Amino acid sequence: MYEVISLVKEYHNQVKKSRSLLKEKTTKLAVNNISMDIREGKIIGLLGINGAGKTTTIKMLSSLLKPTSGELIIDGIDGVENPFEIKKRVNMVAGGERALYWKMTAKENLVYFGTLYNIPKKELEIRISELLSLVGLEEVKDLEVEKYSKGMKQRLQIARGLINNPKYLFLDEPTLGLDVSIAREMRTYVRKLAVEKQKGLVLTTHYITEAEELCDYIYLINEGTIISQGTPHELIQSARLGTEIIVRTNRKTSFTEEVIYPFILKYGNQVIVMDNLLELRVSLKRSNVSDFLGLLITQKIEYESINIAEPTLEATLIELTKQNSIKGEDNNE
Amino acid sequence: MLSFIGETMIEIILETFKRYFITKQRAYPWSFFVSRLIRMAYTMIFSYIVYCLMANRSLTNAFVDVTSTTNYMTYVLVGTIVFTFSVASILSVGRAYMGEVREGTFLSLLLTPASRTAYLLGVYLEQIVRYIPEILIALLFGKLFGVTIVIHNLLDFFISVVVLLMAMFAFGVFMANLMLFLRDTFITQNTVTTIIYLLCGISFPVGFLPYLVRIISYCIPVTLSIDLMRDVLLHHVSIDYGKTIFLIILSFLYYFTGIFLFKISERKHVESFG
Amino acid sequence: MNNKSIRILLSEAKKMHYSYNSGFKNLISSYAWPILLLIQTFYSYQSFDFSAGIWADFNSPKHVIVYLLLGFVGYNSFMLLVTGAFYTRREREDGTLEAIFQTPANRLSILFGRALGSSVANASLFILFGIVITIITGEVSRMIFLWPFVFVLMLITGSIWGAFINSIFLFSRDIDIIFTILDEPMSFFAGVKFPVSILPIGVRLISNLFPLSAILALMREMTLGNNHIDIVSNLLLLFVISDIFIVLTVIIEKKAEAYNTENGSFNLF
Repeated sequence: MYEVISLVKEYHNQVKKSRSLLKEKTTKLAVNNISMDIREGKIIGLLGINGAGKTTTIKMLSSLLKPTSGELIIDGIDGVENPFEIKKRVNMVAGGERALYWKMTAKENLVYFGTLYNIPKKELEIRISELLSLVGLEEVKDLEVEKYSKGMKQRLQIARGLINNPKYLFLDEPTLGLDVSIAREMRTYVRKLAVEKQKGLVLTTHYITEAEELCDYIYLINEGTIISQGTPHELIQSARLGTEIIVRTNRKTSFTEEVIYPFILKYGNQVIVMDNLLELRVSLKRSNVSDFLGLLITQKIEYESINIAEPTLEATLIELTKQNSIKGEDNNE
Repeated sequence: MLSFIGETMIEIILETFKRYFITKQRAYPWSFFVSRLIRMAYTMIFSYIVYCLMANRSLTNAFVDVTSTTNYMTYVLVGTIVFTFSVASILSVGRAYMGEVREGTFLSLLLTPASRTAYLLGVYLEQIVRYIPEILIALLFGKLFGVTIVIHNLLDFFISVVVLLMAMFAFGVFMANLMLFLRDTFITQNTVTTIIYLLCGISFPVGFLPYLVRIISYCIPVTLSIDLMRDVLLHHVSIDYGKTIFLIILSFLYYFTGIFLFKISERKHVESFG
Repeated sequence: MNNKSIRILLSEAKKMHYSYNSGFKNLISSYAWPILLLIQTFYSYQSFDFSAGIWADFNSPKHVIVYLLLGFVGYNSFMLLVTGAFYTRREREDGTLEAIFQTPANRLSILFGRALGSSVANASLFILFGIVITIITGEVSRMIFLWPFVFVLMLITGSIWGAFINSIFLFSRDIDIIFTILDEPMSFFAGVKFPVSILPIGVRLISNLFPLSAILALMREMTLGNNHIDIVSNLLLLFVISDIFIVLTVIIEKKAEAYNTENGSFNLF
């Protein structure tokens, strides 16, 4: 297990004031007291808006960035004091077309990085062959990377990230800019890595559906702090967003005051009529959904369609971030 | 109509000047300035060491016959100042377009109706302003080696400077379009500056070179620019109008070749963007 | 260095060669520019009458040419071993520098590997200039025995210098200016174009700080054999200076890595 305990990262900069020769010392708290447990075989999601501190956290976990304070205990070893122990056990894959040598072939790239991890030659050959097969680049292994498509480069990145058979793998926006079908393939690999290969994965992504699909546990970060955590289901529950029901009819002036009065009586201002009285919307607690549907029947509403949508993780995260910002503003006052 | 075009061009020149001045100030406040001064200093020191300590201030008859001077240090200083200015022009005006390509702003530039010449003039003006302190420091440094630059004929000096500025701008325009055409800066700029250093009479007279090579030398505007400045500052003779007119014609040739190359590059660039 | 480190060194050198040090552009920068500059120096020297000077060896045109050729071989060999450092900025932008420091690979091996990435270009340069010098001097048997030894010595010393410069470039993207400041002095103080013995003693002491200086003195003594220096003591000096630079490289690398992990500056974006 990889234990992350109270991680803090402060940046100190000297910024030149506008229209002045003087420089001002500034301190930025990029990560503030982040703790998490990364277990083998599980996928952790690290979500948040741009600048929330996700990449900074990932870089500390992968030893590229030294924490200002906090602990990194990897398989019982102090990772802050022994960053090379982290390097042996982890790897990082960032989205985009970076971290590859374009003038070299896929195989040459993997041989190079494999050598840096001191993987014996024979073992490296076998591993490269397996990895290229896993990511579907066997046929093009001797082609220079500059000739690859974006998706192919991204797949090669995954192969590079696995070259040292890491116990823990950090994926920083791995499907960034990929086509829908390639992104789906990528998610399949990621799931396989956790389930079949028992790797502990940490994933950052802006694609919430991706997080919903892949992550066993999610940490929501805002301004360097964890503002909420849990399984996707737990997070949705914690935000207390209602189930949204949309009832549509095809007759104009269907939802008149008279018709919807019983609904307003029961559900108050949650009832909203839209689209020239053709649509009725309401956001309810789950327990009230069947009651509402019963009321529709009792009132003999002639509807064309009913859509029932459970709260999404995306809506949940937006709501939780908003709640956190409001709390922050209240504290400041 | 003409005054409107003139006003617009001046605006473009000044805005481009401002933009380049601010961005260079923020990105490289001292580095270019310091590195160019160091290069000039070492050229002078090296020349001094070879001339004074190794050769005991003794020049070959070949040198004296070709250059009509025994004042080697002034000869080298004038050549070095003009050479450094020509390199600065290549690096600023010459790399202007490729700089925009690298930053992803070239297409935006192409979209505007702004005069490309005005744009490059703005870049050039910024570089001239930056270069003035360097010349002053170079002249002060020259004094350490006993070099004193004296202007006997102000009008001739003024004409030489104007023609030199014109020639270096035209050369810069040509280089800007050549680099854009070749889609390369590093190899092109360093190859050209190395060729200039060898062929244009900076630290030895062009007359030492084989005849055919000399023809190539005189096709590079830097050579005649250095000649003109040496005439005025070293030999203190009246301006050679033959050389001056030839240099002006050469400048126009470089300028229009640059414009021609630009038309091809612009089309290629826009097509590749689709 | 154990097998593991040598393997990393060779891998890094191979990567540098394929990624940055091969192709037409490298042909131009590795050969064309130095040769043009050599010709420029040769023509500059035609301006001076050395018979009146203190350095009598420069009276023979053949001697001047060989002297300059050796200076250029040495200088350009060193420059080739330093070119890897200039690609550090690009590796920062491409994210590959970060990927390298993500690994537990021996840092010194990486730095030496980066320097030796230009070994192929270096070897070709040595062969080309070796042939030219042999033709000029006519000393065939001497050159056949001497030149490979000189090449190996140059490669070892130059790679130490290259590793040192590479370690400095790890610090930050703006460190290029430091190299610009160091490059001219190295050419000057190491006696690439003229003998340092004509310089004042204080300046000569600075000259001894550059490994290139000792290498050039040795190369010239071995090739021209003018008994201006004692080969054994110069080899010893070279050994001592090289050791100092290795130690400095290790120290600077550790500081640079600590700086980058503190500030997250392994990559530019």
